[in-house]
Amino acid sequence: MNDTIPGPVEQLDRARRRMLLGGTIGFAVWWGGRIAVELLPRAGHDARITLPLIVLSLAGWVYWVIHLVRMTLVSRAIASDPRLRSALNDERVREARLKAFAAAFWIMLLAQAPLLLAALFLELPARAGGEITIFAGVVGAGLAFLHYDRES
Amino acid sequence: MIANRDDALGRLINFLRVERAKRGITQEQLAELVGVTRKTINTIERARFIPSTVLALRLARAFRVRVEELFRLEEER
Repeated sequence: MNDTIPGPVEQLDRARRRMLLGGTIGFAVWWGGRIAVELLPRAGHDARITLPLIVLSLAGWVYWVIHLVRMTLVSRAIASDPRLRSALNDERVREARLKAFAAAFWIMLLAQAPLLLAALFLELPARAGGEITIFAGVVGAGLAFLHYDRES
Repeated sequence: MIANRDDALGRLINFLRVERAKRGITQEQLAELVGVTRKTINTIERARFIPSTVLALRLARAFRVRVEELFRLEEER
């Protein structure tokens, strides 16, 4: 018993999910590439490895920006319609968002454990530690929301 | 020994799908009536999401039935 053409709420819900997935992947590639570019030379790797990583990271950044812009435009369209805004921010979505933030907190905390352990044996740049934490938080939150928001 | 809270309170059963079928309305139509997404209706029907009291009352009002006819605790059967 399903409509063949989904209504605006359904379309926007699906679009939001696609854009969040795209944005999370883009960010992961961009930021992960940046971290790799920063850490690999310290491990003795040369430009033959870092250059492709820079290109990949840049592609990730572009992909992330595209999805960020699209999501911003969709969010504005949603915000302008109270009915859409209410439906797309219903209690199930709010619960998924809260659970995602809670999961991201634990993911960020767990990301610190290997860093602290590695710091006992290696000299890690402080910036890399911060960037790894941001990576864990942003990607963790995005993936966690997609997990809690899923239908099946 | 109580295994979890659900065991102590009973499992929530809903009759949303039955009531929808009686009236011939889709999940999306019901979602529009109560102001949520179709996914929310689907997850309630599949017992993956427990609605709040407010949403349960809205659903009952949409079907013109009492809340107890839509939702029931398994131990009450």
